[in-house]
Amino acid sequence: MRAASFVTLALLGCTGTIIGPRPEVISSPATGGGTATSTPGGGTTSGPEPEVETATSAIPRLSRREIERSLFDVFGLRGLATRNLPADPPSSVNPSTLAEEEAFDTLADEKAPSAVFVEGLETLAFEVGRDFVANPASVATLAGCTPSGSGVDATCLGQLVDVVALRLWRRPLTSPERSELLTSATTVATMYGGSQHLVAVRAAVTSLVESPEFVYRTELGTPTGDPAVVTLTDRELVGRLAAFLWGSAPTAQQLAVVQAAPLDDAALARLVDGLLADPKFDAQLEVFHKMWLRYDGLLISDSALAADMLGESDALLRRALSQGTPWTRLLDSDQSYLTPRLATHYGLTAPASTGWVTMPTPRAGILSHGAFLSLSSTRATETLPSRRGAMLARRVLCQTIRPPPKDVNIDNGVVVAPGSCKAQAYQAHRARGGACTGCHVVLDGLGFGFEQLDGQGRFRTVEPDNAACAIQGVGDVGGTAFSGPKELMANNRDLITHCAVDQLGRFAFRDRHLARQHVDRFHQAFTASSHDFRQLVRSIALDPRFRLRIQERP
Amino acid sequence: MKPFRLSRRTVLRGALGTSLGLPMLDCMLNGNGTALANGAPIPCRYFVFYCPTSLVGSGSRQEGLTPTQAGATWDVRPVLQPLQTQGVVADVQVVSGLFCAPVNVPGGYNRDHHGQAPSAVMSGVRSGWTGTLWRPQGWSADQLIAKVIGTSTRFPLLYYQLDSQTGGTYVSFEETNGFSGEAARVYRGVQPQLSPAAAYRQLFTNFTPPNAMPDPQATLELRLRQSSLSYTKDRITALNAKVGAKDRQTLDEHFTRVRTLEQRLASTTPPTISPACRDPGAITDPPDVDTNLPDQEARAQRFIDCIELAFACDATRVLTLGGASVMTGPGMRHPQWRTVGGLHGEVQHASTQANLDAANRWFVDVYARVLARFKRTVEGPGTVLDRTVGLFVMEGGKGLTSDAQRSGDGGGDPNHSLDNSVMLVGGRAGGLRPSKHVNLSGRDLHHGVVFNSAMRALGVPGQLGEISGTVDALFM
Repeated sequence: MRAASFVTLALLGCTGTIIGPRPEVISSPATGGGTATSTPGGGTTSGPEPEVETATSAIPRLSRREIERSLFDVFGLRGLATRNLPADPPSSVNPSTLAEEEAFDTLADEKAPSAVFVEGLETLAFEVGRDFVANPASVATLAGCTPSGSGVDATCLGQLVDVVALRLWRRPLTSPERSELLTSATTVATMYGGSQHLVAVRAAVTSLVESPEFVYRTELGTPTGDPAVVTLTDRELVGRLAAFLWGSAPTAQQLAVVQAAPLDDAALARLVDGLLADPKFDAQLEVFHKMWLRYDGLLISDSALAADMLGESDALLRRALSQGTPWTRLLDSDQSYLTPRLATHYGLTAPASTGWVTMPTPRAGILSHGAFLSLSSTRATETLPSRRGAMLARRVLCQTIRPPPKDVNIDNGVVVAPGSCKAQAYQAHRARGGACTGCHVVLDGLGFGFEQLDGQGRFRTVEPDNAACAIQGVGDVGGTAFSGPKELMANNRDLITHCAVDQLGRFAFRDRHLARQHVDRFHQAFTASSHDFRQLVRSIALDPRFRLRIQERP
Repeated sequence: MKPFRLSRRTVLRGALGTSLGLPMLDCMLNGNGTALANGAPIPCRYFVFYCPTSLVGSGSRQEGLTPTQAGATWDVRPVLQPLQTQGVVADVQVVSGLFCAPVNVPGGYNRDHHGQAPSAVMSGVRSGWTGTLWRPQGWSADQLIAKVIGTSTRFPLLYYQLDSQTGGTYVSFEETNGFSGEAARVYRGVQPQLSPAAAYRQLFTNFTPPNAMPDPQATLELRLRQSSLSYTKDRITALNAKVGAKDRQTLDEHFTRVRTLEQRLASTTPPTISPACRDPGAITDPPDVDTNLPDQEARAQRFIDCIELAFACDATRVLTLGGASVMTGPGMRHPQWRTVGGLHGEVQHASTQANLDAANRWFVDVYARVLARFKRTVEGPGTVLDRTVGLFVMEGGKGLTSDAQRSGDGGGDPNHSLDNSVMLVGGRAGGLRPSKHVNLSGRDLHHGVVFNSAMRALGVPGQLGEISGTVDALFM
């Protein structure tokens, strides 16, 4: 079932346009804007014409987080990537729509090799080599051998290089690559009067980390019948799966599976299930949700309260991701994990000890938590309904909001004259017509539906600066009224779960969006599984589309 | 602190491990005191601080920075008090009444204050009518200057940012390859260094001062780095042969950066070093003060340390310090203004002028502290500040009328205006004569005339983008 559409609203003279669930056809630079052609990965194309997909990089770069995780998994070293590399940007301007969009750190488009990154990578590689050889026992364990003699043990060095390259580069070295690496590492080592073997190890490891094959995953693929589509090789698919499900490098055992035999459906399923069973997958699920909902960036100046709020949201997330629990609990649960202090803060009866508490209407799910609600505020308690509505529109309903017209200053928000009521001021602003109305009809509709929850998640029925102004807390989505997070979810379950799948698709495919026909398929399966999120992830990982890459037509 | 291993005849170590350099004249200058012993002239430097705020907040037309008196007897308003506190008020000139127009004129911007105006100010090229939105259309002044005075240092230019948040549109612009659908060459904001710890490592890892005793370990590590860089270049070349055009552009850029780094490590140009050049020991990134509340003061202090040493050790002669990325990123927070909305969302747009003045005073204090460091770094017959141009430029000025021809975004917000802008010019490089207020009100002169004046002082030919002319009063 198609999600409720915002397209109708967007057409109401809105020059600052909001685009609803993506239109039927988006012209692709690869096809020169022609009509839809193939639907890579199969999937049904009944109904609207499939969306033409845009080309993606054959060398998607790892995020800082993924580099950090990979280095820990391979070498047992922590913190080096975080201290040496710049953080990936949290947002990006979409060149097609000119809208500023929130971005996952996996977005390949925003990874230009700046001087700060490249020099940071060089320093990172240097430090990895240095710190790794500081523990000779670790070196011996990873290599599976202990060097003999006083010089460079070429055989043992070769074993280490083979192991490290396989993990970091996700493939074995070719003979020329191996030979060049061992020669250069040995040459450096012979300058040193001490433990030449460890110096050679250090030189080799530094080179392997610094080389582009580590930070850029290659997805060159093999041709299909369509020049715009390539199929990833088995080895490339393993690398993509490990990045998606773990945010890290694949293991030698996983790579050995594809080395031994072609990956058939059964072997692929075993591989994926092995990835899903690992605790790294649980951690990756949390990474995705935090990067999507951003609640850990909460803006609460009381550190104890902030810790309680983070605990509240983390606990609900873990519960919603636990086996046998519908993921939709994340957004519709009437229970929250509260400390006595947090319950008091919310104006609720404090429990005797920290635990799950039933929450009153209009609260439900993570959208009613203080951590999430603090994100769109200005002052500690004050809300800007349009801004909150924009956050909800982008993040939870996957709406694209184009920039406002150049003459519109959005920084000040709608002016609320002293003594007047906010709701009436915003209503008057919308009634003025002009360039602002189209967007504000949608954004205010969302924001005012949450207005009874302030910037710290506290419930209120009157405006803090004017007690004569009652807060109804009623908004609307697509013409249907709602009040609070509970009703938003109840009235728009399909739209919101569709958006969650859309967001996961962006994260998984490292692109600005995944084509609608695929999102629809995954959403149908997600709904049919009673919103089993782990099953959703599994179905994406096993889907034929996951092992394809779209490239520029020659 | 970790002292460098200079030979004993040049350094005496104090009780706290500080290095007490002999007077520079004795060990490094020629007999005239105008050049260093290796014959190189004492270098000039360029520093610019980008303050991510306007003079006034939304709806306000009164502010505490612009002097009311022009000339040598100018009044130091409250926001500029740190210049006195840091002892550099006599080393600075205030230039007021600058104007960058929201119209299609040289150096103008297409109405969008945050999106286009900073590009227009910092590049002197009109912004927002052609090319990709939110992108500059020309070089920034620091890059132009680095091409002339930054060619012999390890780093042609260094760019730091106080606020730790990524994203936004930066204030140093370089030319690069355009992507598909764009022109062959475009301009793009350079990513700044956000980590004081990384800035320190960049300056001092593998740095060996002249006359130092040979260090086998350092020699080995240098050789190791060079070997890895060479291997990396080969790997990039190999990978480049397998990918399409767009990916080749990415790898080409990566290759260029690697080669630049390789050349820097291989450079044997003896640095021009002041006795103030010292390794302070590792600088770390300070922990947050509170949840999502960075310790901005500690970050600023550490960057100031790096800036002083970058010039003292002649690691660079061009340095840009951004307060935050344009529009303060998502909202720069500071213990002084630990508001939920941050510097942009709240202090500039939803607070009082007094709060904005206090924030601006902090930024001026950071700038003043940098100048003070330059002033205490003895060099030749004077100090580093004597041969430096240190600029302070703000993202916004003060719109005095609701005029869409004079303020961005339709003209309604005094904060979103580059009318009545103020810049500070510190130092005495190239004949600059500080200690006065130059009031350019009514002349509608673009910020570029001040950048051009800086270039003139440094002996850099040309002009900033479309903006011609200098401010002669700065030299009188």
